[in-house]
Amino acid sequence: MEESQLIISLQNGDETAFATLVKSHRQMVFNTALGMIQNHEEAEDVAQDVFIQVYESISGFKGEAKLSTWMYRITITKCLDRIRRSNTKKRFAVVQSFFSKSSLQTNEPVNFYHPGVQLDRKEESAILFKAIAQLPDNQKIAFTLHKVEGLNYQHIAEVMQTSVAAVESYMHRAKQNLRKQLTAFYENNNYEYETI
Amino acid sequence: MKQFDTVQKIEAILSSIDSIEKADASPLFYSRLQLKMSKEKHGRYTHVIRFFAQPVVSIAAMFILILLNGFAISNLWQQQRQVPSTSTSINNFAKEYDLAISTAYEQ
Repeated sequence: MEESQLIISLQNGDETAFATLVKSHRQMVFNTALGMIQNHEEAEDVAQDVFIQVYESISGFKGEAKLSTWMYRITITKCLDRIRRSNTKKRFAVVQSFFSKSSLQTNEPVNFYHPGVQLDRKEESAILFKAIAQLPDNQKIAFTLHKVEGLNYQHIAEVMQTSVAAVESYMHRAKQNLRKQLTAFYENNNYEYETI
Repeated sequence: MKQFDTVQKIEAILSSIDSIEKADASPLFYSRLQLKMSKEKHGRYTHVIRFFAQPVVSIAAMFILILLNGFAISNLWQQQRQVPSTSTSINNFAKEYDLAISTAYEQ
């Protein structure tokens, strides 16, 4: 089914068209969410929310951008919302721990192993994903869409509604920040990671 | 030499996701999605509850309530200050309706 035909069918509330959309875009949405959130269950939950929003707001889709670009935008927005909510919860837990007798239950992120990474590089990629999570939003989005989702700079610029030059700048700064973080990480944990 | 080692390790980490393959959701994704959609459809007031459950909305609502209460209390207080004493109001009433008792001396 062609994209324009698919959109028209979706706007008419066709359930089969929706099933087709989920089948064809499921991996794209899930993989992006997984790269951003770095948690399998939460990424699947976000992916479901993305399809629900697409189903509910497809009538307002005017075709100014490609369907996939529009869906990437929804996915990114949902992921950022989820990350912010999770950070707020963590901060609230820290504040709450000051007033409660029980000691703070730290929700330190466990190592995230992306299922698409080669086995022999899993440990290295886990360190990298930890560092990616610390990047500012724009750099994180650009880096994840390029490295994890494999989008080119032009497509990333369309998703982020910015220029290609801006995306290049985000990528450059992301790599710089990652190098800085990893250097600091190695200086602090030199002994532990000697074996890697 | 040690610094060179660190640089090499960092480059290895940065390139660790260069040949990453795309991950896919579980095969039950569509059925779970349908279940979630039907749950949301049946929960008629879910959106309203979710809207009011947001910390921003509830805190804003609390401030509006406090402001309204403050306004009402200050209004009430001002009204009480402005209310004339009972004897003055009775006299005014009597004057307005010409109810003043005339005495024999006045006639």
